[in-house]
Amino acid sequence: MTAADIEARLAPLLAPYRGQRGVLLHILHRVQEELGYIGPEAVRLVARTLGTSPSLVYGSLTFYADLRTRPPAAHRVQICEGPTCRLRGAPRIERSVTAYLGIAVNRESEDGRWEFRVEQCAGLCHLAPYLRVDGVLRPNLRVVDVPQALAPVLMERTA
Amino acid sequence: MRPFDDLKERAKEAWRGKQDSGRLRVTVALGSCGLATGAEETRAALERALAHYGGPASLGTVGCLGACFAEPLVAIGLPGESAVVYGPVPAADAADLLERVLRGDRNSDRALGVLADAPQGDIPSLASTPFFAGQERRLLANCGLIDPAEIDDALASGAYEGLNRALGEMSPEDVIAEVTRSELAGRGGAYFPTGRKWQFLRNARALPKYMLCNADEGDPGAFVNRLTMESDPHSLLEGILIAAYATGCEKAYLYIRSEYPAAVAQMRLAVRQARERGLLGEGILGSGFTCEVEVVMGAGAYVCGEETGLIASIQDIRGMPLVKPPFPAERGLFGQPSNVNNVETYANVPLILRHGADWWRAAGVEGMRGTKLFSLSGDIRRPGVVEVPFGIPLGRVVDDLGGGVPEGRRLKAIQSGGPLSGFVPAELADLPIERDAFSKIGTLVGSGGLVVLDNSRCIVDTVRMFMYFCQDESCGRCTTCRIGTMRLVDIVDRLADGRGKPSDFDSIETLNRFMQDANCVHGQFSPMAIMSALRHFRPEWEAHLRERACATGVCEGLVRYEIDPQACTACGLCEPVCPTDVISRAGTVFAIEQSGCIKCGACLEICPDNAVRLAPAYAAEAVRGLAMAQAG
Repeated sequence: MTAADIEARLAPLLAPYRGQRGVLLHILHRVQEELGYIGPEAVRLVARTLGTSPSLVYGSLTFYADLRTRPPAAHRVQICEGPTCRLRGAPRIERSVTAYLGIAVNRESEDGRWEFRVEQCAGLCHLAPYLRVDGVLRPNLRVVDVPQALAPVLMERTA
Repeated sequence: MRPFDDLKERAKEAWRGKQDSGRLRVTVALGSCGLATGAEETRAALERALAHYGGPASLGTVGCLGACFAEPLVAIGLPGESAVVYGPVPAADAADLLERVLRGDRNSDRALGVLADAPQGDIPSLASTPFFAGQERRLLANCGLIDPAEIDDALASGAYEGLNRALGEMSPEDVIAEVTRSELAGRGGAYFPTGRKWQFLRNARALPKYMLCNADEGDPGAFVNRLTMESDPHSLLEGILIAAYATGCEKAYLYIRSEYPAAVAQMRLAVRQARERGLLGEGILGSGFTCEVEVVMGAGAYVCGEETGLIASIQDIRGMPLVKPPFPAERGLFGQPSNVNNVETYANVPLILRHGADWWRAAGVEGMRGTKLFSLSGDIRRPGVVEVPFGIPLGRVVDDLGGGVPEGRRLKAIQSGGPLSGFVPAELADLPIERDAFSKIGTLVGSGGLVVLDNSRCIVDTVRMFMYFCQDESCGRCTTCRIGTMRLVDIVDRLADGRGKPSDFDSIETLNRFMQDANCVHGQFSPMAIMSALRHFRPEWEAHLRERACATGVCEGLVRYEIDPQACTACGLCEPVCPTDVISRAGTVFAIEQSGCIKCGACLEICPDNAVRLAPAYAAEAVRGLAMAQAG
């Protein structure tokens, strides 16, 4: 996407927020929904809309775990490591995923095609431990079932 | 007729129509806990099955009863009878269940209970079953019984009666007086008297003033606020509006964590529906009171659950807790007087106004009045959400309501209040759930998360998780917390890996003292888990330090996975499941090449002969270590 493309897509989205306050989180969510991530050009446009500096927008954006400064990978694997998930074996599942994907947690593969992230506890503790692969929840996961759960990602890898 | 009476009458009519027991009534619980177990697929299967039913029938949606252990939950009410709750009902079984019930086979083995006082055949009343019998369900009264997306359901069940009474018969000062008299205290974990907090805001003169709701329930293991928002959203909304009226606010913000998208959607819908009925916005219920409510979704930052972090986050800056004083009641959102209260605190307010402070404070004990929601998880047979009065023994919640730890295991500890809190060891589990009793043993009641650990769990590893979390979520503003949490992580990692130093325990105590000077509660309370674990489980820490032994076999640096050649039958099932391909045939048995082993446990899971054993990694260990690992 060129800078002009980004401006064209964001301008209508940002216009209603011009001059308002208490709206940065709303805006960042909407930009990420629209573009998938919030890059330097988007940061500049958001700052202009709010009449603030890009560094302040960037400082906020990088504070939050959900917001991304780079495009998402094609495949996402997420693991919760809250206490119940951890008790029930999340670290062992994490090590197994790392062995199969070749990337440590909170990292992306070198070609950016898949990523492996820790997600925060969402209170689904009765399903611990679990993986989320491309958004699909795999609850009550045993370590032996990890390769099967990772099938969408592993197939991509050999393709 | 006054506007509210009219609203309520129409709502009751709609509700009566729904409850019409002359037809078959089926409901499915679609809270996010249910959805995660496939409740939507169950609902679709029931919809298909009902298409073949000859008579009048309805298929409705409800929120969560709190019985997460039995999801997906389905309630079936035959014509002329009370509904029976069944669970778990996966989609594959749904049509069959319905068909059997219609044939007169009550299916009592899958029934949880009848939604009535009287049993039906051999199905007991739900309220009499162990999970429910020990509870006092005031906040949970409607949860799992009403459709959270239907404001009429809420109105028919008593919603907005409190607000109506406040606007019609009480001055703002009267409302604060009633809440003060009730002794309601902040349910986010600080337990600060709510009436007093509102009075501070009432006293502030600068306008505008803001009422904020903290729905950033970030403590791992706590999901009580989520249940309220998803299952009885108007109980929260009404509480916020009453608070705004009492304190002179015309705008309220509801800050919900992004990990709860269903709750965000439910609350946005509730705001829209309330506005349509004149219960929110300009001139509420025909009175002069105006209040707008805006829902803000967070973006994944635990410290935005700290009140000034929340305020900063709404304010277009980094969500880092601000320096206090000034406190929010003096200078809060946008520099204006504000209050931040927890979801559960607000949800109690309509009950206080509806039934009176005397009724409300009759539950609980001196110093801690009322009931509290707790989310049970971990090594517990019946995970879910319960509501009990303060003062009840913790052990009763874990054993009677939660069903205790799994068969063959023993209770080791209960972690209450999340990462910024400590442990209640098993021998003290009869402690009453009450602030002083908990603080005497070095922990907090907290916001409601209860994680149960049995004797197969390692306390050092559990603390390690909490420290990683505390360090990761530190906002970085003050060196004390930013570096202090990192140092604690280093030390716990060392101890868990068998590289501990004798001075480590002293270092932890020193760090704990220094961290009391942190800018906010995050830094101050981060050491609590480790301090509590050292206090109650010292021998386990000593074993990790001096003997480099993890008796439970959890700490991966201190154990080895080995195949016992006596037990191995060479079936070969282990070889293909090893992610690093380090298992291979060695003569007549199989063996694990230790240098490549990542201690994932896949081989242990698949071995049909129990031949994969955990052995201590350091040969200096006595056989005692191995014996303990196998007894766990």
